[in-house]
Amino acid sequence: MIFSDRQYAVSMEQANKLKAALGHVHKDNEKHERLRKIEAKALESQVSDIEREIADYELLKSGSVSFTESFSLGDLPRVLIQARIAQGLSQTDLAERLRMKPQQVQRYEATEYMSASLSRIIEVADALHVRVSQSFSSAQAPAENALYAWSDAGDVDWSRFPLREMAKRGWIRGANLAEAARSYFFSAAGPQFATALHRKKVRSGNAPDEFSLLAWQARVLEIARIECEAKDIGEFQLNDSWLSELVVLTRDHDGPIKARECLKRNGIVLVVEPHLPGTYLDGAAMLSPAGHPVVALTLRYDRLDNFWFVLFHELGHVFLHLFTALRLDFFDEEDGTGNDYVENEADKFALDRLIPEVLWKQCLSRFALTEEAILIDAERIGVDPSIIAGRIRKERGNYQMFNNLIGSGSVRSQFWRIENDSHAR
Amino acid sequence: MSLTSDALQQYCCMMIPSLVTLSGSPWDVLPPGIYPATFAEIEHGYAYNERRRFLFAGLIDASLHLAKAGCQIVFLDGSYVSAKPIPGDYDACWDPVGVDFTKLDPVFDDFDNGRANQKARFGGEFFPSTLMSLDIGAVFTEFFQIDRFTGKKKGILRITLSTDETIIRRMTS
Repeated sequence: MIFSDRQYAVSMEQANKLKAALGHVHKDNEKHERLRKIEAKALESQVSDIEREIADYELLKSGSVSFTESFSLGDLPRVLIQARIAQGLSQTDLAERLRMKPQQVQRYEATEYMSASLSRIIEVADALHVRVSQSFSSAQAPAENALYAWSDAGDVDWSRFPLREMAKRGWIRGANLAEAARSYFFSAAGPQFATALHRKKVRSGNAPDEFSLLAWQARVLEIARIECEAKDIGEFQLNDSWLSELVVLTRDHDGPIKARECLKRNGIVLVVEPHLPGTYLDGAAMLSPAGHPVVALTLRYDRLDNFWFVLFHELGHVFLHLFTALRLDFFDEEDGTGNDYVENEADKFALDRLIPEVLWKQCLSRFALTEEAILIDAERIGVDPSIIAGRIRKERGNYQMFNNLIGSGSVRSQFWRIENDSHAR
Repeated sequence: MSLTSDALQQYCCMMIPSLVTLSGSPWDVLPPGIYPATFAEIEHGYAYNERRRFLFAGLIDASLHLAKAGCQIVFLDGSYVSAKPIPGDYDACWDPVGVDFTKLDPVFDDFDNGRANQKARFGGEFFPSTLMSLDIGAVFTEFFQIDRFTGKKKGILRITLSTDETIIRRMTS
């Protein structure tokens, strides 16, 4: 796709060069006949691509295409690019409207808004006066259990939020808790959050309380926003090579709390917030309005094996799904069904990252089923014994095994201690 | 053994250079030039997430097919050798010198539907590198050295299949 007048000029020049070459391709009789055919078809194919892009750009620039109807989420990224060109706006013009760097708009468009959060996309649509269909009818969500919330803050019944629990946790206060919840939403998660279309994928055996989920998510985003504003967070890149550092941390006594620092250096915010009544959340992965991935854990089970598995599962969503066109936030409950492709991918990511398949197959402890064998395998692989013990327990469906090795009671205290210290200051 | 200055110079020249910013282009790219590289270096430098690892596996598969037909050199270009986090595909040019066309897989002749069959099978697209033009020299390797967003020059990689350890190991296994 052509995005700018400059790229249009480059494409015209390239097309002319390739067409000139096409005129000579059949004249070289010394070449193998099949090679000449390959060269001709390669050239024709490339010229055809560029000419189609040039024609599309000229059509948009001519002003004869209108964008007055509503568009579904699946079509929106391409429509946003087309609408900008049709309105005669350069990428720099749009960046100025959105108070962004021009390169950010270039990157959004070059990836069809892949890395943009849903609220950012809605913001761009507003800036270009493109209306969004609320049905998501053509959005291709392979995920089951997708849950949609409101498109308009006016539709929200704030009294249905878990107001007492929110007040108990100190998120809201006052005589009118419903009004306080409304204010909390706008201040905690940003004005975009309450008005943007929400799209969540919930892995759950039950139907979770939507209001509790949203309240919890608002709290998570509030903490994440504060973390992002601290400026010492690294730049996130879709490069997972540093995850081996996290695996090494499993062997550290303070591994979980150090993991939070490791994630922060690599541009990911880790938030720990207990789940709200009506949900059985273990973890979630979402994108902050500032564009940083956010991994949130509830520590519903205070065990090392659970902490590391859920963390790597959510990182699986970050690296595999969060930046694709799904536009989903991911909410995970442990007892979700096992036939969901996206969840299975995240599960496999977690298992393989913690213990690569080839090493897992070499683990004698899988058959010996003794603590001693687990300790030997853990030493050989370089992970904490809880990782192996937890995996055997899950594979065998026996959660009474190796209770001494799974680090019971050793995770929450690390985070609560830090939280309490910071509150005391 | 001590490294002489000549050896050091040679070692430096063999490295894939760091990406550089091209003003007006969304992603950092290789500085202008054609740089020799091995598949091991490419895997280390560019196959850093699931999508990129998937594309790299397709590139190796295709390169094996080409090597078995006698191809000696493949050029790698496109967004795969840029900082674009999730490239849609990769672009490659193969050198027909030495190729036994009776052994060349027919998919390398197939340019229908925007090279759809090549992309479906290998994740990328393959163009012949020896097509020459009076104006620009080697048409496709020159074409892929122009940044499509800005028209400025950028670099590509050259892999010698006949000496590449990854290819040799796969050919013998």
